[in-house]
Amino acid sequence: MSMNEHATRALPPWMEADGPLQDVILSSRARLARNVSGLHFPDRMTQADQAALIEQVGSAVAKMGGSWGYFPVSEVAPVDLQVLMEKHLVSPQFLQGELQRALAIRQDEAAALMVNEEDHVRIQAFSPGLDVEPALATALEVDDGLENELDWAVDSRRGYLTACPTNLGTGLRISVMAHLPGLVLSESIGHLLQALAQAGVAVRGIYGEGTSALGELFQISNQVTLGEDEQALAEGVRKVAEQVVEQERQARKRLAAEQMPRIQDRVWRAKGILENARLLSADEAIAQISALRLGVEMGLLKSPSYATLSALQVVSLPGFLDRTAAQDLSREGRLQLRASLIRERLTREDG
Amino acid sequence: MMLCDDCQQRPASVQVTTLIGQEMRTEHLCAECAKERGAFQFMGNPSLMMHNLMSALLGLGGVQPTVQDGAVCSACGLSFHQFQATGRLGCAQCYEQFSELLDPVISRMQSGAWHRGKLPRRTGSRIGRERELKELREELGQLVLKESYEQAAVLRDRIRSLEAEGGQPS
Ligand SMILES: [Zn+2]
Ligand SMILES: [Zn+2]
Repeated sequence: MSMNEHATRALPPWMEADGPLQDVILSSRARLARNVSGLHFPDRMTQADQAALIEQVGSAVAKMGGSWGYFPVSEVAPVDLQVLMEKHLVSPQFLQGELQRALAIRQDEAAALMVNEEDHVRIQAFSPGLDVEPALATALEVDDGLENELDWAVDSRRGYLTACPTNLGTGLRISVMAHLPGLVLSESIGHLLQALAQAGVAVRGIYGEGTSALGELFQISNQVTLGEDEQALAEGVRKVAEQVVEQERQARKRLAAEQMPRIQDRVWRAKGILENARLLSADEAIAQISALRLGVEMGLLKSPSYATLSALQVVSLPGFLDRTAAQDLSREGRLQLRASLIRERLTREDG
Repeated sequence: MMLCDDCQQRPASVQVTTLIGQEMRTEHLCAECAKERGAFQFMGNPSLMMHNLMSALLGLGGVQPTVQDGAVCSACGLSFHQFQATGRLGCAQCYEQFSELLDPVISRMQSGAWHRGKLPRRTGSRIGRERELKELREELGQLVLKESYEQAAVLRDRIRSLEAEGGQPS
């Protein structure tokens, strides 16, 4: 796939299929941090070393199986990078700073890597729903491929050596994206977050922080990277996420039993707004998409599909809008284009 | 009177137990530090959260800043002060060069100090492997003396797998 396609396609191909527990968990991700032996970490690398590493990783990627595109950041338009960030293919940090960088994306967008972010190489892999093991397997497979060409900095006591000691050992961060409107609406989210912190996992809002996260989307991930192997870390996050799913489903059941009119109003109002609005802000779109998703998750609505809901989220974001319009839109222009792209996606599904 | 594990100043009044895998970690904190811990555990991205924990441990945990105040990595030139400011090391060698300062912090914020998990099939040169084996055997001897059998077992597995690799061409 060309950069043009990655930057204009709202829905990653791997998200077209539903995964396990899709009614609460949108997606699972595995990230591996790796550094090349004998080179300083990115922060302290010379310009020449940065450029050389980009070449070196590029040729390692070319020798790997699968269909990959490799893109030095100097050749990618800033707005395209913004879209890739909105699709979680690169990190926000990757867009900042002076380092020379590169990125690779697999054709199906289920695997990607960044060169010269905080570490020399950051591998990411994704799967739909709560399915951490396949994401981990994909990330490790990419690592196996790179390892044939690159000598990773490693010692047998500390494992993979990373720029920040918080990633040391496996270099693995497993995370899942959870949609928790039931727990937010029933005001039991604070309690859950507290319990999760005790269970050794980290939680953050995807849009906004803490209990007031916009869109009721939360990312749950492991804190510790050293001292347990990859499978144990993945299993730990999966088990916590399974409990979260259980809690969220119970909260929705209680809401259905006690406050059905309120839930129905919220869901149908969201449907009305998203299908008819002519101007939509990002905040409102994210909030209404969350309510629409809740309607689908609770069986109140038959459509749209989870895939369409995920696409709506991406088309709501500023980079995607600018990219689609092929210009830097005014605020008013964005409100208008956002509303029209959402309407179009929703009616397309109806027909 | 028991002092808070975090600030080492105020008396501990809260016991915080964290479950990491099968391992329970119990800490004794004062009310303020417990509150602070709670606050940063609920927000921020995971690495930022670990950064906070790490800075807390670096600033307040058993580290003696006066002893190695001017410590600098001879491989990349990063000073320990710079690391404390950014939370990022300059090169792989930093781990060895700052090991006295870093190892206690790492084992407190991570789930122990020993890597269990994947290693590259090709772990560098034979010379590197032999040097590593030598160091590991020394450490194993010390662990056995200290009766740290659980850690010793992990280390022995690692030594065996390195020895096994030694038989194959790299
Ligand atoms: Zn304290
Ligand atoms: Zn260094």
